[in-house]
Amino acid sequence: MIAVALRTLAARRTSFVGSFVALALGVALFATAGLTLAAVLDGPAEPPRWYPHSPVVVAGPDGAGVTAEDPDGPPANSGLPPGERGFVPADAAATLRTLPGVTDVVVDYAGYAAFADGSGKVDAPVAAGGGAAGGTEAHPWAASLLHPYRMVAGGPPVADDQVVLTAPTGRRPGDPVVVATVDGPRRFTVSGIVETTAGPALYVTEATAVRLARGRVAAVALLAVPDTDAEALTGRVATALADRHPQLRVLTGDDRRSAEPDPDAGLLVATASLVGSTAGLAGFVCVVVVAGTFAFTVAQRRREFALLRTAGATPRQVRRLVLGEAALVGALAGAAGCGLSPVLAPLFARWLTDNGLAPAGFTARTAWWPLVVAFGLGLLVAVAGAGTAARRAARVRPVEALHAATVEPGGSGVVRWVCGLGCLGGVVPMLPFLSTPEGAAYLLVVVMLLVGGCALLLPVLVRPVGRLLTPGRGPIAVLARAGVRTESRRYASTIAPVLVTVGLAGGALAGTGTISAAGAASLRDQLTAPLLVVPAGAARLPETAGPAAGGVPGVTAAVRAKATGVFDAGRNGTLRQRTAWYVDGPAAGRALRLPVVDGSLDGLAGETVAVSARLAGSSGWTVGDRAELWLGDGTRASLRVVAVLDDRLGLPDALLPWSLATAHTSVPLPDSVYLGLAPGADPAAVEAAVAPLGGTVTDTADHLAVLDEEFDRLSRLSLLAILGMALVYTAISIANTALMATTGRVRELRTLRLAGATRRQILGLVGREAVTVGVAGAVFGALVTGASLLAVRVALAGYADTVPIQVPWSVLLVAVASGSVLTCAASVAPAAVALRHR
Amino acid sequence: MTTSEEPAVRLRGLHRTYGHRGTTVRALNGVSVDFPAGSFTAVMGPSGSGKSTLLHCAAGLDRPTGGEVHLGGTRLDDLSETRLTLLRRQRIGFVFQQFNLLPALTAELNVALPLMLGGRRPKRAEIRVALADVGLADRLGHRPAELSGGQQQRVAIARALVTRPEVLFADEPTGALDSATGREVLTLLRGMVEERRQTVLMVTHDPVAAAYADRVLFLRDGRLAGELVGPTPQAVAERMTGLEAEASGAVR
Repeated sequence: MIAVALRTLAARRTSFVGSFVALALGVALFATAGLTLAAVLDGPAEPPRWYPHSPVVVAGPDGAGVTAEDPDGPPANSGLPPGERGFVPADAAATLRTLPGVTDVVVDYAGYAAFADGSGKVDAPVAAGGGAAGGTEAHPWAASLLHPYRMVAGGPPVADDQVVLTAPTGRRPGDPVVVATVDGPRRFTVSGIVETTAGPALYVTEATAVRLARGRVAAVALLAVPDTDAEALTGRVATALADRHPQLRVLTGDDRRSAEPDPDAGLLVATASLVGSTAGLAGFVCVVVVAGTFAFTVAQRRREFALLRTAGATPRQVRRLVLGEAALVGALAGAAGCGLSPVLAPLFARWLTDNGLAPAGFTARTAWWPLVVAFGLGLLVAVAGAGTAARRAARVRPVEALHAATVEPGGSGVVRWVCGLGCLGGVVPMLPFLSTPEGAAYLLVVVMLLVGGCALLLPVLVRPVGRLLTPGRGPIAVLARAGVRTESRRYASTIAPVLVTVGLAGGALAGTGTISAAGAASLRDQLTAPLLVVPAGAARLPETAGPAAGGVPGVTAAVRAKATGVFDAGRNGTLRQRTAWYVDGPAAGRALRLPVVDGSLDGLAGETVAVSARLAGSSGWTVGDRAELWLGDGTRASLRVVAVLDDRLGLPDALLPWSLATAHTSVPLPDSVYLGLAPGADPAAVEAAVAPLGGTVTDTADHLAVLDEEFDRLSRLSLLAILGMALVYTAISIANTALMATTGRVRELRTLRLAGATRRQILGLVGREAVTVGVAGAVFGALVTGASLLAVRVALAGYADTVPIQVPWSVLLVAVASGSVLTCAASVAPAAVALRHR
Repeated sequence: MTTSEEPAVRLRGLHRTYGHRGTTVRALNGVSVDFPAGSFTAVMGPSGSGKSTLLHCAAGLDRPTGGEVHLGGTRLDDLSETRLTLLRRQRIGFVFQQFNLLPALTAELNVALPLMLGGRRPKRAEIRVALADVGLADRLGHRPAELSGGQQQRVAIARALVTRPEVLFADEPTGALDSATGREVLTLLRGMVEERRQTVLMVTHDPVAAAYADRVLFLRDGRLAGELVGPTPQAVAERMTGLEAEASGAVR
């Protein structure tokens, strides 16, 4: 039988090559996304830079959930919001100091500190975060014990206004520097310069470090006698902390790296979610195209199977032959795809970093599990796709099959209907998620469900639609119409890739565009402040920017705001991250339009919270209740609910009083200060008040426009990252399927030629059919786009005053045009070649 | 038919209707007939008389709507699709008008196919002999497209006989061949009957072909309409003319 399988494969080269290409590229696509995802998830396993001299480092929690009262509570299943870190309670250091084997502990503080380096000019602080800028954290001088360093000039800080800088720097000992801190710009004098592998930092006195960090301990690093068994020490530390501080992490080896601030952490989280979407979509496209292609090749070979059946093959043998072939092609093509992906993945990673979608230095490495998953998926889908078609082909009795060799069986299975309608219906439970911050990711799921459902139902939908698309009374029109009627499955197979291409591009772009436009519009509706204070440079605004602006005559409210995240356990105990803002409570209503449905924001101070109706509903909270939340630093807080707000796009799920920011965020500085102004207030006066603090006054509309532009740019790039490769793949599969379909009917076309059709007429017929395929694909793709927009509109209706529908006409046109052109070219060319010989 | 031997094929009250949304066609309407072992029978009748359906039902390629089909001692009409295929593979040979060879396989592999499907690894010599029996010892490695129509049909006959079937069914075996090659194929079949006592059941519309048989059965409108033992082409042609006249008269 293997001989039979091999020989039939050899004889059907086009269909073999077609299946091979579809599967190899599909697997390559999925494996490429998988390898990139693996690189994001594994993270860089690098040794610590700040803590190498400390065998064991105790750091705060890196997720929410575990508390002393409830050590077995919800697991820390969610990382902290980007930029946030957990802290170590001050009393933990004392406990650790007394442990056997510990010679000393370094209590490490890491307060916000940014200063511009290079020119030597002392002016308003600029630049932080960027690689060229100076350190962004102020540590106590004692922390220099934790890593190798060499004092290249001057000495350690002894006075509270002295600072040690890291080389390379243009400053010399004795130079003054202005550093942006939580207290605003502060003047320091350089006492010394160190050269170290630990990375840029500012070293200050213990007292200054404590003050700049607001007294919060970033980590406690243990120093031990030489040759201490780090594992054993780790065990002792964990035991000592287990009772009172189960949330703390005891780190050793390369894990110590996770106690160091990673400026790329936030971006890496975004990269992970982006590449996750890419992988999900790649998998989906691979499944749809590969299953379709393999089913199509089997359907094309009905006559061959009928012949086998008359020669005495049982239905089971036919199925086994088909499955064997599919497994063989699947394994070969899967291996080829897996071989291709380690080449593609670094290119994709490079593109991501070049466009700022992944941290600089991010690279894809070759890991085995994405390859195994991709190979397995390809093989499984190939066998499943071929298997379902083979079941249909083998079930037919030999004589029926011989008679009906060219006319395919009509009707479609119950399974097809159930799956297709199930996919379309699956959109409904997705709708509530479209209004969440992850709405764009859920939109992709909605689009995939719509495309998948539509593709499944294509064989049924093709007949009525195809009839409409083949009007006319000429011989070509009649033949084309007959073709749609009797060979709906061939049409369905060739239309499917066009549908997937147009539907994905249209649905995803229109949907995400509409979601972000609705969010932007809604945010404008909520921000009633005409002006706001934002940082003039790269350094953050100090806390004092709020009171400074608020003290200017005519300013009725100066509301500091900082975005963060909180976690709630919901009713089923699984933690979910929610968006949250720290705001200056009672005044917030004067700069923001906050749709309070119950309670009042007047009491938003101290241990309180205002929650969205959605969060209140899912947790069963009403005004006056105690809300159990985990804050941005992973600590659990019991906050009194003072108000419930209507759900609005652009507004967070929780408003926290500013006082909590000081205690629970690593950088307790406002993103911006929203201003409420009385008539006649002078913006210039506000500008004068905030300029010394590194702030500047800007028009809210202008500011939002800048933010929108950046957001749109990133979101366009993200969509390109998610859809780009998948669309290239579906475009290839459009041509691939059309080519296979035409090659499979050369015999039929030659018969037509013998029946008196001219070569031109036959090419006309093929072209006409190709146009029908292109147009039908465009119609179904447009339906998917429309349904996606409808879903977004329905989902967001309750969350925004207006949902401005965005239709990416140009992209749709390009998708439709390229789909039609590809279909036509790939259909007519092989027919022309085949007919040339006659 | 008073032989003590059991007939190779026995049909009893065979009905076959094809239904397509209201319009039903009665292809067979109560046919009962025996085909003795070692006999060569031709089935004739005007177009649409049900002769091909009779052959397909008797060979287990199609299922009767009513009645019984016995092959040797086995009843076919109630077997499962798989059992039926297995039985067909072991005990029945079938030759089609359009040859129905697998285009991808060589003559040798086409002939070996039924044995391979049966899970056997056929000996090369066995296949050579089967092809030599039909006069194609030198065409082992040719694909169907490289063979003439008569050669293809002879490969098909070799394939049908390679399993030593109890009955060989032939559906218009000469229909796609010119008269000279058609005669060669018929002579081959006649030889199989005489040399091996091979039971052959053949559908044809050609009186010359029918005259190669021991006996001709005539069908009209799905019913038996007489038989002719020891047929000559002239006698068969006369009966056929009569039947066709009645058939067209019935239509009017």
